Amino acid sequence: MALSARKGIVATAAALLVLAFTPGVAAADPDPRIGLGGGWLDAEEAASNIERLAHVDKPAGSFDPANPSNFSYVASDLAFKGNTAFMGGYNGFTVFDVSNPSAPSLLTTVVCPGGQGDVSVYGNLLFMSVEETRGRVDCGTNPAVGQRFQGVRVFDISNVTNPQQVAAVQLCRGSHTHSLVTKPGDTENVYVYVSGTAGVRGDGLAGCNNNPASGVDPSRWRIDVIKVPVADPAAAAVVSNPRLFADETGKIDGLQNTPPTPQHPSGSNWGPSPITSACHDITSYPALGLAAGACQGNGILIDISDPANPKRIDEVSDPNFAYWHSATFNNDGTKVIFTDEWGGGTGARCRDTDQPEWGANAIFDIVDRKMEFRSYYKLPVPQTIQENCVAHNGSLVPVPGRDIFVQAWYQGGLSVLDFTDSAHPKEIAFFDRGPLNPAALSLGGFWSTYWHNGQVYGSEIARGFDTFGLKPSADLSAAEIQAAREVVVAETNPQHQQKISWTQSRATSRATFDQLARTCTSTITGNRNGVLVVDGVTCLDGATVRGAITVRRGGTLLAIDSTINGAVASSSAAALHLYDTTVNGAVAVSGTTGSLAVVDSQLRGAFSLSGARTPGFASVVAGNEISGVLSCTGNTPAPINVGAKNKVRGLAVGQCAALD
Amino acid sequence: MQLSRRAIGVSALAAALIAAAVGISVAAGRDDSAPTTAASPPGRVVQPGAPGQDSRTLSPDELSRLSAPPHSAADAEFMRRMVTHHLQALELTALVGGRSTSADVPQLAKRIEVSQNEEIAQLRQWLVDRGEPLPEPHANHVGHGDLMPGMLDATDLTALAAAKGAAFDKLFLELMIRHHEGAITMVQQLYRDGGGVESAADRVAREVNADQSIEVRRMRDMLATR
Repeated sequence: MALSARKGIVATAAALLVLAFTPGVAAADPDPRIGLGGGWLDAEEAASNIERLAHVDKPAGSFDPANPSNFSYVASDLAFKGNTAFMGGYNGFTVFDVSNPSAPSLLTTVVCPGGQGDVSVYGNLLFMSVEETRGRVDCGTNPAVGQRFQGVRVFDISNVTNPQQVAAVQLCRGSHTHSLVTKPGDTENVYVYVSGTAGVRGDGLAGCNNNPASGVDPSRWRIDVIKVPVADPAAAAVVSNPRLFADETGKIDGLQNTPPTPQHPSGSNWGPSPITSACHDITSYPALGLAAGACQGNGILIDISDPANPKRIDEVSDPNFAYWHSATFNNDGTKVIFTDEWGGGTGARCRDTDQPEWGANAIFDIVDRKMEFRSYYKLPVPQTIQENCVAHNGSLVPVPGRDIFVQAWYQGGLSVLDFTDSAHPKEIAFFDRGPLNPAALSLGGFWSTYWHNGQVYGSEIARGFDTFGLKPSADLSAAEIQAAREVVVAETNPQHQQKISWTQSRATSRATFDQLARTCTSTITGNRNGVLVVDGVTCLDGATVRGAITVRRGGTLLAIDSTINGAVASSSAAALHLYDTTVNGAVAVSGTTGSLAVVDSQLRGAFSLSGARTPGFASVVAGNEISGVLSCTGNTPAPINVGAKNKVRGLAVGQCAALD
Repeated sequence: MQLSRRAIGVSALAAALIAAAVGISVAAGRDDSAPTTAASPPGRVVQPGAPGQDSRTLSPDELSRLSAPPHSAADAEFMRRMVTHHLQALELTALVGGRSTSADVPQLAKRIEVSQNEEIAQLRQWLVDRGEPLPEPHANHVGHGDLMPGMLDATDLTALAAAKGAAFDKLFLELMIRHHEGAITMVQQLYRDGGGVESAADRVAREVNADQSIEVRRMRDMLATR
């Protein structure tokens, strides 16, 4: 196909309007993820609405050629800084240049064993979790000598081809995961919340003990908080050990201490067991002063307005959850997704006999700082018993107006889900490979799949590093993808969520159109004679209307590739969007309440735009040819042209004086 | 592990044809010409030092000599002994039927039975994967070799077999706590002896530790109410 970019978008949107009324679109039967041939580096792949752009094998020094599943070399979590991706692992971390996501290149392999190698970046600092007893302070690979290290390492990555270790904070249970926490306004410090799930170390580190919850200063039932002065990271040190699981009587083991039922609802033993003595992972959202803790037997909500003294404000448990593993807020902070790592990540838990609420996500709404359960989401296709599979790490895809999550399911591949309607999450894209080893379960699959500045990246435990691009579909338009791609952040650490805001653009405006187009209550595609009165959401797609159009209070008019032989009058409409449409008459729009855009259209008469109150969506008047006067008054926010000037034959006046 | 390198098969082609109609792609990975992979030039390999020390660039020769710690004799011995140890826990849970009259102790015993069986399978698999011999089949019988921490002797077992009702429950809990604490001691001994350094052995030992600790805690709570 050789469509121009603009025509391509038009064609997609036209398809959308039609597809909105076509039930059962795109349900492939059978699902192409079933029956994929296996192999280490040559497995078959299946994808829908996302394409793999590139793959880089694990470099020498970070895998065992004799056994790609060797636990000592597992590739783990991802973090990003600008065009650089950092892939953690049990044996160190790997640095990639992703300036060209279709051709990522390996920059550096850092040998520094200790698992699980969870990584985060903050400016010129990289943090890394170490929990295994083979870890050494000096990154040595022979654990028989040197000083043992279990805790959080801090590297200076100002030169990404030569990272330097600048601090190493020893901890009683090491660091299984960690999460950055910042305080808005405080640029001098970064805090690290450490989740340690290993047994308390027995090598005599001062202050570490195996005391019961009722004993003196137990090393369990807490998290560790490290404060790092950004200008002097070598001074990083533990500043507090918050007892996030205490009850109102002060018992520090106040949350779940026994599984909710003797066995997991599947009938098997609980594994891992949902007993809360630590968090497994925490996701902070400093702009909201909140964090969500996935804490073994519980999901908890935490007030982090004082980072050194977090306070639990709510907790939930779930009879289907074996192990609360990770958490992600939506961008508004009104929802949170928790994952359940039933089977610990090494088990096949996406078999066709596994119920959709086992080893799944649980989606909650956050109402008045309390969590309310809405639904489960499980990878909607079974995997073989040779594939370790369960809910794992993901991140938001920043599509304005929607809540979209791209998530790793180990050998279940990646699944992109829309949870805008938290009670009805829906898969909108996927990628999967066949089993690493078709003859037996060998550990592999995606540890993390995260969005960063336009692409999706995946860390494959045994296979390496993948990059992906989303593709337009009925469920996600080209403009929605483009709007997400326009969001550029300095760093991405999905466990340290930043509030995303979008600069209004052609793409964000068109994304709003595309989203409204999924809600059409009536669609006109051919000729229509006579006056048209718009209630509900009326959509014109390649239509010719021979008559005037009146949009009533609360109504929505969407038009694309259409001709209107008459005037358009709209008063207090919910929304009005005209794209590539010719209006042979005057257009008068007043008091719009939701959103308003007139783009790439020909208006043969005057165009007056007044009194729009559209919070968060400046009215867009862009790329039009307007034969009459363009007059704009009293619109809040003032109209904009998103960089596409209008040709106005008459005058452009009022708020629109500069839009031609 | 043996991994296949397979060509795209007929079934995959058929699937691709079906999928093409609905916008879904199926492709064989590496050999396919479509979206693919540049062989990345080998980047630099760096090994940092302790905080304050400079990182070193490793030569290809140094890199080729790097390895992860292999499993040790202590690891293998731990796995073998733990199988034997767990088997005795199953002997205890086998006595519950017909002797306990409470609701919670049989439930707990069932849970222990399931978890011990799962762990035994895990321990055996670890040994098999490494070509290590499995424990002797009768090593758990009283009188064989040195007694492991927490292992019960004939007197304990006879006493438990003779007990009924509330007295059985109490003794069962006491003995199982002692037995499980022995397993935790064995984990500590493993690390003390320099074991648990191989990643997979570390993982198994940690799971044993976590499971026994949770069950001990539960049993202490149950004992406290009796």
